[in-house]
Amino acid sequence: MDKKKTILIIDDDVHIRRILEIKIKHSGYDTLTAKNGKQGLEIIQDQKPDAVISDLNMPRLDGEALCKLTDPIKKDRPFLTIIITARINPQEQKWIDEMIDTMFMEKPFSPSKIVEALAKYFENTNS
Amino acid sequence: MKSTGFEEILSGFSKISPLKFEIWNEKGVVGSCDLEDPNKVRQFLPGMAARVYATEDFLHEKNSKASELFGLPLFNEDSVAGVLLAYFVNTRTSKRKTDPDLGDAKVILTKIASLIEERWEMQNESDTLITELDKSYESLHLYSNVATQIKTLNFSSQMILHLLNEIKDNIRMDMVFSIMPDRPDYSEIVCREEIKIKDEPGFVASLIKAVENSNKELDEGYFIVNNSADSKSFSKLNKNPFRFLAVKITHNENFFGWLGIFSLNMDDIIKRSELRLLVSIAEQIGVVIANTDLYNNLEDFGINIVKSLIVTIEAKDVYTGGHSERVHNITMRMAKELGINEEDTKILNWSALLHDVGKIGIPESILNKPARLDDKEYEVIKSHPLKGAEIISPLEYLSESIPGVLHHHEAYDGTGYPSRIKGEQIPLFSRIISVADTFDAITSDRAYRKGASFEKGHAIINEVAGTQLDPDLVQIFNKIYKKSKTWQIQRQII
Repeated sequence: MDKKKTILIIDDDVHIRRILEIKIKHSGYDTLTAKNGKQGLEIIQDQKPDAVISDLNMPRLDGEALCKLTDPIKKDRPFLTIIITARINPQEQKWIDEMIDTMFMEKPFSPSKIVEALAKYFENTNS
Repeated sequence: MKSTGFEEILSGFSKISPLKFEIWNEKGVVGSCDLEDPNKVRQFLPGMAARVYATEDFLHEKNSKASELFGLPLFNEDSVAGVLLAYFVNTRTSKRKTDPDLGDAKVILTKIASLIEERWEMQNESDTLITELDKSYESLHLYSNVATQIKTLNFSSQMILHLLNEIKDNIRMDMVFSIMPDRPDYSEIVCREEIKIKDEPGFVASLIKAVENSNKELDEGYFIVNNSADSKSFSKLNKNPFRFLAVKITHNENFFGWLGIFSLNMDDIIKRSELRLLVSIAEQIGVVIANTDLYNNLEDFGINIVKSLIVTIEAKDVYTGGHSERVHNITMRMAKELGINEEDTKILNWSALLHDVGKIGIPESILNKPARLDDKEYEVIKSHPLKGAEIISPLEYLSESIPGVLHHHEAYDGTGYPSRIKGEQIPLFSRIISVADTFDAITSDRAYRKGASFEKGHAIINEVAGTQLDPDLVQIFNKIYKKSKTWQIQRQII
């Protein structure tokens, strides 16, 4: 059997971290959590998660800056990034499109849709 | 069994105390333990654990190695989820003077057990809260989706489908349906693939029929069946038991239909929160449908007002009866051939219908003169596009249709009126109307001459392509002319 995939959840809101953590754990993944982009970046570098779910607006390194810093890492070791944001504007769509394996989910997000997106990504990358 | 979080503490505690602690479940020890076991006491632990599981109570035993064993069940949600075991070891260095006090051991074991149980209870509560929060997030997501759709004026069957799918995924239902007898466009059923129900529309129809035939009061506007097996009229509809909820879609006393959810999973019931969600979505759908109806009625009303206006104008001109409708008809066919989008087609629609509205300001003596017009009279006639534009200019809704009216008498080579613009400078919609208008003018009877045949009209249109008319649009006209062998008949109808 495949090794369990590890998902990193980055959000400054504790209840969002918890809800995603439980939902994703129940879906059969391991989880890591970080409170801000800076902490998230360290975990990405050290623990190499298979996917990252991140809020856009966070203290100490926001979601956009985090994506721009992790994009070079993704060239060698691609992984999915899901950015959670309020209504997307065209400018935001543009930078998200430029990133490797990056997508967004609009707030209020649906936890089950996030899990669906993870499953789909792993299904496509495994085959 | 859930992790207790106490394994490490107990194992550490065991290292420094003559009393050793272990937590067991049905399979064996949980977490770490002291495996040194010089007195070979651990061999008694499996039996002890099993006995505690069976008695579900505190046990104290003395075994053949003269060692004391204690066991206490650990409860999680009213059933034994593990056992806490403790035993004394008489190591050579720590000779105890007296026998261990049974009461003391029981007290400390009970304290530790209650700590573990409290921790489990908190974890359970936290998990329940998180699960509830998860559901609220899903509902919030669904609400925000519905709210976005409510803003649009024109509700469509795709929107209903999308909404039903969202509900199905959101509250994990096997089937979600909206049934509106007078609006087949909005009647849809979505179903999980695994669910096998033959003839879904027929099944849903019989479900609704059973609801409507039931004697239950429907004052609340909904109907719940939590187990179809409890009711004769519902159990006969499907061989497996099911539960379902149907909510009325209404607005201001007007009944539109039913929104329903259906599930074959009998481990759950339809919850209060799901009922609230569905009632509120049904209310929103009711508002949207009422708004869409109102919008469509207004639009129809507008079209009918314009049509009466046209009839009024044409009543003045005895020879041009039906001209505007025919020009409109040809223009719309050309628009379709050109692949003009829905929004622009609407603008063109109004321009075509209203292109001659300015004739209302032309004296009847000129319009109906049974001879060729002199120059002065012709100048008066030439003022009708401008007059038409002026007439509709106060109507904000028609502002985009003005250019089509104003320039429908411009010529492709720049010799037309009122602005003498040429080629692409003439708005596309005016150029289209111009082709249709010219064709109908040639083939209609006039005060001073009889109308030409369709063949003759078609030939003349092609002769003036490039001078009076846009040659590309004449090609488009030729295409629809070829397709329309039935024009003759249609003309008689109009």
